[in-house]
Amino acid sequence: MKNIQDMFKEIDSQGMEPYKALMKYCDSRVTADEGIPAVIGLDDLTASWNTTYKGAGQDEEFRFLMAAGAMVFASLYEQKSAEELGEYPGIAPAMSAMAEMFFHAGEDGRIVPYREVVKQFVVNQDGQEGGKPDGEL
Amino acid sequence: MSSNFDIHTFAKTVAKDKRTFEMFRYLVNNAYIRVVNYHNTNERDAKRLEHEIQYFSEHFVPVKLSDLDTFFETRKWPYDKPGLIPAIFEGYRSHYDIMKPILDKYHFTGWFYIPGFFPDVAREDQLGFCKNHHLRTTGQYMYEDGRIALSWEEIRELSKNHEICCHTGSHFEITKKTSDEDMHREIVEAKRRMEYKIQKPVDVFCWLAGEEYNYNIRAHKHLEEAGYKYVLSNLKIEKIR
Repeated sequence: MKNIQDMFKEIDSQGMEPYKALMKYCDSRVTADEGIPAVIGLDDLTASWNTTYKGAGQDEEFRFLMAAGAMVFASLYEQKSAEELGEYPGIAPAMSAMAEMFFHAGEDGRIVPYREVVKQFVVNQDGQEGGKPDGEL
Repeated sequence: MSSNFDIHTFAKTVAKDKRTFEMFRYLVNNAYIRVVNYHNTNERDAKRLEHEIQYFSEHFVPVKLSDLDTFFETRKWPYDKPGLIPAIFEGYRSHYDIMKPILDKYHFTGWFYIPGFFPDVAREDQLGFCKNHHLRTTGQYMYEDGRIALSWEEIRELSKNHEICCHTGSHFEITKKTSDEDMHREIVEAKRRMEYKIQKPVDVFCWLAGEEYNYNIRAHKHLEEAGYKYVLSNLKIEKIR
């Protein structure tokens, strides 16, 4: 099974351009009208802080990719100015960007981005449906 | 690492906010859930909405509040497939007319985050209420009678198969400077109003602007008095009792 270090290596081999392109795409979304994916934590404040959990079988390995991807996006968002970020910490848009890029693991093991779910409804810069931003993984 | 990835910059930027590491811990520790956030669910977007919900039903399991209870009790996600929550915000009428039939068709559970006082606003005042309370409605074109908010009858219907959550009383941003009186109204009275009208417990409270439980210690007594079990921010769901 791959571990978190393997995931960081995979991400590094791709370079940062796909991440930056996806951040641009996220900025173009119409949040009032579109479904916006994200991943949020589950925290039991009545339990010990070091409680461990077992997740869905399908995410056994994929969660490491999500964790590594979230950190890469967080590092990129944290480099933005406070004005650009607004009231949220960089990790907030990072969790949504991560969910866009690593929505879930397909049955064949490949990464399914959220745009694949809604691809026929995504409008590219020329106003044509089905467009994909540059740098998609 | 390659030249694309400067580990020093990476470490420095990631360490700027403790919430970043917290999210890393949730992900590695299997303590997370996927959400897709919706606000307006207008007729013109119905095809896309149906496509999304159908996809979710094929690749994920729907999530009931009882599934979260089970997860925290057993410390194990009870399904092989991951869970996904369509999180539907603001209590718009189009949620009942457009989103509910789609969710029901695919047997998928929506979580509806409703400002508890919105349904009580007179229909002729609802558009103004939206403008004054940061509710970005884009669906008013659908309704000539001016009603934008869900009615209580519609919320009662929704509650049969979906989760009804309190998104404050009047879509109110609770800050550290908010008075106790305002907090009580927006946290406690909003929940009581919703429960009175739907005759069911409302166990989830959702902040505006993504605050977390620890952010506002003064709000704790109100959340406890109200009896919420879960508090939602844009980064996490926290079980508080």
